[in-house]
Amino acid sequence: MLTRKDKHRAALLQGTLDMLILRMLMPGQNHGQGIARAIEQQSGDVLLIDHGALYPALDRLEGKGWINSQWGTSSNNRKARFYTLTVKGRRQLLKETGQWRKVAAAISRVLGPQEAEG
Amino acid sequence: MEHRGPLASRFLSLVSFLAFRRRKRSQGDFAEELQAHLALEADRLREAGMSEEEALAAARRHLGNMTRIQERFYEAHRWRWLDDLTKDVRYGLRQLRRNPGFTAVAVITLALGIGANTAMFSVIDGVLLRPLPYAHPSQLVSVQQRVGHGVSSSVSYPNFFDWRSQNHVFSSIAAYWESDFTLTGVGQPVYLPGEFVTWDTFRLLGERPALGRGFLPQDEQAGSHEVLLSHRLWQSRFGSNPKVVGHAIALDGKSYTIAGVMPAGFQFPISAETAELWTAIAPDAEGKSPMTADRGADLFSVIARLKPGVTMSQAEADIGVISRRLAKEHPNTDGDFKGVILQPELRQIVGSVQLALLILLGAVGFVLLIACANVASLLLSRGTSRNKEMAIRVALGAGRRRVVRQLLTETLLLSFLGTGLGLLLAVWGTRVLLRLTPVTIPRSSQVGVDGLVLLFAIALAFVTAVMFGAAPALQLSKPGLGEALKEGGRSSSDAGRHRRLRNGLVIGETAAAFSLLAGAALLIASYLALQRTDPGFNPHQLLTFTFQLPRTRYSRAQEVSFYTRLLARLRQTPGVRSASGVVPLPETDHWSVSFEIEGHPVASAMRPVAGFVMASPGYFHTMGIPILQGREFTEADDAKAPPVTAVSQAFARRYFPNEDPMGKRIQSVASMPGTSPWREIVGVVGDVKDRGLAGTTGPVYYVPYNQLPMTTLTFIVRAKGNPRALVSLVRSEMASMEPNIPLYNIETMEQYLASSSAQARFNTILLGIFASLALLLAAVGLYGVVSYSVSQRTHEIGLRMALGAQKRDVLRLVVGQGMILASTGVGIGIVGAFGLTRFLSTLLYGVKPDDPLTFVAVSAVLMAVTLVASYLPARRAMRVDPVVALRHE
Repeated sequence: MLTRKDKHRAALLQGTLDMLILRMLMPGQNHGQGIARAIEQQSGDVLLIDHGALYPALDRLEGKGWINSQWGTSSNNRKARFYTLTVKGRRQLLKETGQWRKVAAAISRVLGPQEAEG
Repeated sequence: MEHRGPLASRFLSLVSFLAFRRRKRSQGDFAEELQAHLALEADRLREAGMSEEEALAAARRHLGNMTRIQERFYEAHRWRWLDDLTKDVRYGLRQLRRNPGFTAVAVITLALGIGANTAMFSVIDGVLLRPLPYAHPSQLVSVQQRVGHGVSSSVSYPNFFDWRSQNHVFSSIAAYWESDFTLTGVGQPVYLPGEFVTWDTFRLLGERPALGRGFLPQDEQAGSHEVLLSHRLWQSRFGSNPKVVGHAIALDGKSYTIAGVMPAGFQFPISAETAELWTAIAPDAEGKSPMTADRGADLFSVIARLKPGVTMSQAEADIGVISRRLAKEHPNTDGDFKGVILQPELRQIVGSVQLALLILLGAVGFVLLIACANVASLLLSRGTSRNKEMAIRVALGAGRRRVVRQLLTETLLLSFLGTGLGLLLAVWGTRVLLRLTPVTIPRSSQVGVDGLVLLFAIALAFVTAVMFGAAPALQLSKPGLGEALKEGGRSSSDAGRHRRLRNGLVIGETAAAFSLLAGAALLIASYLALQRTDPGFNPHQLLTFTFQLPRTRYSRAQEVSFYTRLLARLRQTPGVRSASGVVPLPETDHWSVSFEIEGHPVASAMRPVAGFVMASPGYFHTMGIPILQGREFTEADDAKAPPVTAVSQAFARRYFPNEDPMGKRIQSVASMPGTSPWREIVGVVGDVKDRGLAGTTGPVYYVPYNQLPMTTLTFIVRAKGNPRALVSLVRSEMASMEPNIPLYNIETMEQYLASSSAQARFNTILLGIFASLALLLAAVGLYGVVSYSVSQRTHEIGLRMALGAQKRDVLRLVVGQGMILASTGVGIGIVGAFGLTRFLSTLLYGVKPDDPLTFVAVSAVLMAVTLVASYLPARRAMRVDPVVALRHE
């Protein structure tokens, strides 16, 4: 399904997938496909999630104790593995978000106002 | 916190904490999740307007290579633990490298403990544990009889024959009797240790000859002259000739046919002197009065194989029935039968050394305990200074589990380093042990570091790691580490607990060291007592040797005259003071023969039994046995002269308590009464320790060999100087009279005596080494505890000195601490040693297990060592500068 729109999509920065997954679980539990869909939707279809990288990432986050998982049923009655954020994961998300904001702001400052980009 | 419960429950919680980690997801579960994803994604794409097939294909494409993803999952789980382990090990090694002093002391301490234990275990393994090298060795039993005055390890052939034909419990039963042979005609004449065996002995063991046939039932009949060779003899004397079977060889001047060659490595019976050939028992039956026909001649050792399912007690009962019947039928020879004793053949072979070896293993276990206590104590004191490090790690996000695992990894690293070094020590130590091992320890040639020993060492590594590592790891990892940070790394309640634990450890070490030292001291005292024991003769400057004249060319009378001529020539030889012959030689063998006193007839089964020795003229003089009454045997006491005897002092005291034995007559009655003459007692001589130096001195009577030439003599020569120098002279005298007769058992009497106390020497040296190790380790432990406490109390000592305390007071304070710990340990050790040294009692000679002098001496040694071990840190404490110490805070 390669459309013209795909050209404007951006690959994820290294290491940001973890943070985005954690963020998507803030409101409540979700399964892998739902998480990927949510990231894509909320980024206005700019961020492209490599589905092949998503599941190992989920496993890794669970190994770190940031998320938990269990089998459940999706809204359209499909079997799916649902992930929830742990307390530790919430703390990690706050930390990473803070750090990201700082870095993002700093990079913006270095790059200067948008008009200059020309 | 609830973490103050007993240590055991805390240890359990630690184990469960480590064991029940996050449940691992299976590979299949992960694959299922990917399938679920595909379904969900396809649903979404279908909703967006794609066809069923398009949607599924797109979802697949977007997910990418499923196999690859699953591989990533697998790899991640497979390597995570290894990754953690590598990190832990690397970090642990860095920690150990950072404290080379600590690491070296801990590793060397553990290596000494583990090395000594492994070496000792390799001896136990080789001697006691390894099964006998025969088929189904657990079915093999030795059969012995209980007779009137004790246990007889041997049985007469007629009785054996009845057991063999009448029992219902053995699948086979065999008898064997040690006998030596002189092989002539194949190279130089050679003296060979051999065995008479019943025909099916090898079948019973499950061994077939490598060449030729084994023995057949007819080989037990008179007229059969068949011999089986050992593989070694076949190689060395017969050039491994495969056609050797059927050839004739000359043994003791008689012709034998080679019936076969046993396989390489075959050994039977298992003893220090390996039999080189085996003959069936037929040849003996050709003599005038065959021993094999004599129901009273208990000559044969008996080995049997139990039928499957038959227990030892069933077999004992069955043979007991047969023997009781025999006792009724043959009251003269079997009247004193009391029962039979079966025991596993292995037990019969190694039983005599089992207790000593197990005691030594126990002792060496104590050494390991002390080593563990030392390392635990070291870890604890280092732990106090690492509290802060651990607190920081926890603060930085390391889980408690991770911290405990880190500490355990370090512990295991130490223990494995110690085990590695210990194994090297053990390989070397086993070699040293074997050099110390007396030949009286059977199967010692089999000792070596093998798989089981390695397994033992590895098990020791884990056990020691738990023993020395559990307490420190629990102490360090307990929650509330944050306090360690707040208090600047010095938590006072922790410090108190640590101190008590360390003090307890050092007290335990001292107590254990005391017990070992006491045991070693007792063995040393016994050994010295053994050395001081008067054997009853003068063992110095005596040379002994034996040879066998070919029976074919020498009648008994000719043999006696040959001996007489040889002794006469030896006495003329320069360097020889005197020479005589005897059988059996004291210390090497002991014969008991019953006798009757003239005028005191008793029923045959009730006859007194005494040691029986045949001696050549001049025997007492040559041996240095004092003649208390009467005279020595002379050349005049020959076959034509009136029969005479000499008795030992113990004999005279027991059988002639209130009368003069001189001139009384006794008659030795082996088993055929009436055939031996009445002998007049012509001398009373001093007692001789004839059953080893530690043995008792029983009554003995001597008979002139020339009046009763029964078997091969052992010759004794007293030298003017070094008896070894006489060996070549004796050989050349012998060669000039009768060439081609090899001399054997050429040894000095002192060598015989040394081998008689060899086992005692072995026990003493080993326990001595273990006790010294224990003492050294305990001293290091004491030193460690005292000097650590000095370093912790620098501030306090500075304060005391600032307030006017003298160096003398500081010395008293520090040394006093060491002495209190050590004396508590000694107190406990005395109590423990009273209990433990009882196990030594059978190994002791001339000293009681609770010998007060030994206990006092050992206490003194321990206190002296304590004094030194605590003086060193005390000297450092005395040099504390109060100003510096106080400013330090």
